[in-house]
Amino acid sequence: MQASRLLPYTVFSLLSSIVLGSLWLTRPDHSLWQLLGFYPDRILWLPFSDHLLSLLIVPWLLSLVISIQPRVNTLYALASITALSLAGEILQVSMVGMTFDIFDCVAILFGAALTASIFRAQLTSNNSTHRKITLALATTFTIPFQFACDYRYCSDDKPEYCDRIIWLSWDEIRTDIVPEYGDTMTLTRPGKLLSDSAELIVVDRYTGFHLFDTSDKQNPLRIAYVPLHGVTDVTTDGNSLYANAYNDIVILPIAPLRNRTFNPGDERRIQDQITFPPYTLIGDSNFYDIRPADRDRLENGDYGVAISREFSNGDIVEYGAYTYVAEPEDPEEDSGEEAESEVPESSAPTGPIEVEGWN
Amino acid sequence: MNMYNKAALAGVTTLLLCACGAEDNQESGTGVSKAVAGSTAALAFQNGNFVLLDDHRIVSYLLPEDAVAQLNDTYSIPDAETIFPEGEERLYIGSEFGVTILDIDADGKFTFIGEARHLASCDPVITDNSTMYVTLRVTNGCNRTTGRNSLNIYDIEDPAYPVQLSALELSNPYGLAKLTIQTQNETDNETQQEQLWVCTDDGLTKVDVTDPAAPEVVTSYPEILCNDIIIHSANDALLTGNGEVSLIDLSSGTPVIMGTIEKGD
Repeated sequence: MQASRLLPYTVFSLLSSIVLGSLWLTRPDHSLWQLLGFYPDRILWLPFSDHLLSLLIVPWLLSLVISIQPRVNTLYALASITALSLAGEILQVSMVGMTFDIFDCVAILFGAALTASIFRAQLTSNNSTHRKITLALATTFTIPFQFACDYRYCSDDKPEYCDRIIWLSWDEIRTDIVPEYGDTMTLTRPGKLLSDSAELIVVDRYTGFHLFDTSDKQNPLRIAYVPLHGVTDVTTDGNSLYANAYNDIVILPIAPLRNRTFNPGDERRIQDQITFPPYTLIGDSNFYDIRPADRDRLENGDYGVAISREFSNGDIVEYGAYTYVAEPEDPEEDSGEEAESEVPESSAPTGPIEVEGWN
Repeated sequence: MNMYNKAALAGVTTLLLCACGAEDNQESGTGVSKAVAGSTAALAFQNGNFVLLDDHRIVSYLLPEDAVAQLNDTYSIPDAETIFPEGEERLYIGSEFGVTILDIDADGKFTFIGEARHLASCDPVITDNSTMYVTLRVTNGCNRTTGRNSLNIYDIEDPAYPVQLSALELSNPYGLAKLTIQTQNETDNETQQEQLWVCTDDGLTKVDVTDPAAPEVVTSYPEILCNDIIIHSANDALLTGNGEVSLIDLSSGTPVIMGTIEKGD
């Protein structure tokens, strides 16, 4: 095969690599990835990344068309692809989930002009038969590409497409402990136990633990509730309680908790000893539907711990437990109320243990 | 109830019962000072050291009251989930790939003693003298393809070389605890029954492990769902799971719920 015959394939391969790389880095929600069944996990914000694909579309599709049919009418193909791309962009004005951007139109035209200037020697205008083939090929590839991009991605400009994250800051997490004595608090997420014949500690996962007097087995009596953010486990050496609290180890003297003399600050906190990435409890490492500011916090870990994530479809993950908003099976029987089903954490089918991936 | 049954009932005593080897007849009022945790615990206090599982490793700390906390040692154990302390210095670490047996000295240094490997599954472990009981399950993030659901029993007379004695298939077994019951029969001979109480998807399950080479399911209680169980004595046990904590009495051989602390209580 002559070198000139290889040129279109080479150009097409090169441009394809650039287009796919750009898609991977800047369009994780592109239909191509959904079609292939895997998803890049974050958006990289390159300079002009919003318009890079618009710039590339004309030269890339032209190289594709020429690769398929070398005898194509190249001038006509260039014009067709440019016109169809512009039309597709303009049509997005009225399409839900799409965003018209005048700079995309400029990028398309610029890409077309650039292509024409570089390949002007190869641009030919042949007979009408080839024009039909050219138009067919241009239409086949331009239209799907133009509308494959789902622009409902989350950004600072489009917070409505972002998942809502609820945070606990390090200051909130590490605030002095103030026990609540008596039977005032309720058990929310019962977890691990620590007990003797007369007393029982029940961990309320990620929020604190309850101390019960169990000397009367039929009537366990709450002595105190100890709020402690991030706790999932408690142990003892006989004098103190040792607990994990997200990244920290916390030590509390037992006697003051029993006799109600515990003062805020009596606990001892050893910070940053335990691995607990700030995204652990929101259960999904895909960050592309998270606001850039939240994403930075999740990646840097310098703000606190994300305790809840509300997805744009209404599903919620809170403290590692998912609540799905089920779609009604029969709209006619739908009472109008949202059906929710709570799915226990991944490692605890019947209740209260741990989220897979950390513990 | 005839005299022999009364005598048998009166003679019921419990020996090593719970996941952490607590003795029976502990004085009431000692409270959590002598408390024990369930078999799914991931923290422990052993030989003066605070021990925790953190990101595929076990870590020991010395935490003196009036001095800076000191990280003493770390030991890598992939996918470790549970710690079971025994005696002064022994630690049994349940992981997705087996049980790692370590000793920890007063300075917090870990020494590898032995290991019992099993098919990738999860993972609580308890021991009673020379016998080790491990539950393996494959659901909830544990290995579904190659794992299995079973109770594995090992002879750890020589902890450097645990020897598997048996494997009993159970439905997603999780937390477990052991109860030893001694009874007197008509001829005043003492008999001893070793019971293992296991939380499974079929409910709380009683397994007779008197012969560890041939464990037998005695019965399951599907109405009692749990993740973990702590047994202090035959009439003093606790369950957690299904959104509640139950205080139970096992002395009749059948679990009787004495009290509950429910979600929302």
